[in-house]
Amino acid sequence: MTVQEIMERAGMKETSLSIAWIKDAFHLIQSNNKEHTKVQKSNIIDGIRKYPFPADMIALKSISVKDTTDSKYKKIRRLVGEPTVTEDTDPE
Amino acid sequence: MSYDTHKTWLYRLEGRYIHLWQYIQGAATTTLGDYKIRLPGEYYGNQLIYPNEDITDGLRVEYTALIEPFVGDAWEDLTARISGTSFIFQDTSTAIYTGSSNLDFAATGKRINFESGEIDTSIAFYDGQSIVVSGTSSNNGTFTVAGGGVNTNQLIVTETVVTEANTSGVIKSATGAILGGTAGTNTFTDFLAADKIRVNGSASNDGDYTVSSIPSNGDALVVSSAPSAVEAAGESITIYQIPAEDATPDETNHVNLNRLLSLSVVDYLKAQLADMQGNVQMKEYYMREFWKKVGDNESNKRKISMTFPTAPFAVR
Repeated sequence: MTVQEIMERAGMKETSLSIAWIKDAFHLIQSNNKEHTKVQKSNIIDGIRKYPFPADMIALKSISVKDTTDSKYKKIRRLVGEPTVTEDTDPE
Repeated sequence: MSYDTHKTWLYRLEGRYIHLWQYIQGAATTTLGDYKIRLPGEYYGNQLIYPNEDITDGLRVEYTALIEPFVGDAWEDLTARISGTSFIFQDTSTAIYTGSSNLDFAATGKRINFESGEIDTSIAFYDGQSIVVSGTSSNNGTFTVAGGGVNTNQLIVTETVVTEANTSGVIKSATGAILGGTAGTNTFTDFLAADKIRVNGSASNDGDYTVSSIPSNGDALVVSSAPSAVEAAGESITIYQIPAEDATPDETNHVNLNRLLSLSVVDYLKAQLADMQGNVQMKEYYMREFWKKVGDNESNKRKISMTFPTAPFAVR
């Protein structure tokens, strides 16, 4: 369905506002459903614990870590409780 | 070396960050001579530690994003799709043919002749193909394979050729392309120039491409970015059309959603309009309609069948 058709059905006249609202609707749909998913891979570094979320992420689907013995990414579980160690200044 | 990562790795969510932890059962150790020993007095047991190894591309995050919201084609029109084992990938850097004192160029008929059995031109070339010839004495340059120019052991080109016999030379493709496997056979019937396509199942060329042009025979897809490697036929490959994003959308663009979700977007716009007008009741009504359609779209994907056994003493 074209933007124009959506605008006509909704009784909208301003294109830029319509496009902004369509993006909002897209955002809401993506927040609740997995309509389009994306994958980002990054290096794990020895001694580094913090890794940023992808900047364009709307909703997280899964986090996996590569099992190098069989070259497969395996979903890892979320740690519910907070670890006793808040920071390790000598992780080696 | 990571192993059983689904059991030995855990994550925590902290604001914008993922905190990775490794779960181990052990203690601080040191190496004495050739022996690894546990340090006396150190804690031994279950521990959470920071990642203790480098893993290239080790962290994989799957998520939803605002991906290509506006595209050039309606979702329902993305029907071009083909599967097969005869697709060939050509790049621009690898020689399709390397001749060693066995290439003939004939001015009459504008022909490039190969020795019998050296190369099956009907597989390697296609009409309209732009080829680059080098290493010859008088025929280095770019040529275009003429319509009807692909024959067994021979190419007919549109440009003038200087007669030259038994010469060495290298022939490469000037553009990256995906060939259907048989010259002259309209393999890519449903595809059009400017289509965005996705390749799945190849040995080394899976990815997204944009079709620059399609020869008149429809036996090849000339793609704007060359495949990463030359690949012979044999893999079970599927090529299908995907939406081409428009980063500067206008009224003519399509929303990258199916029709039901597009209708839900109409409800969302109506809700926002009602909100602007201060009509909260109307806004709530349209937001309910929005979520109803989003929910319908999800349930359309989940078909559940239920089977009940017939009771052994059931009286009909």
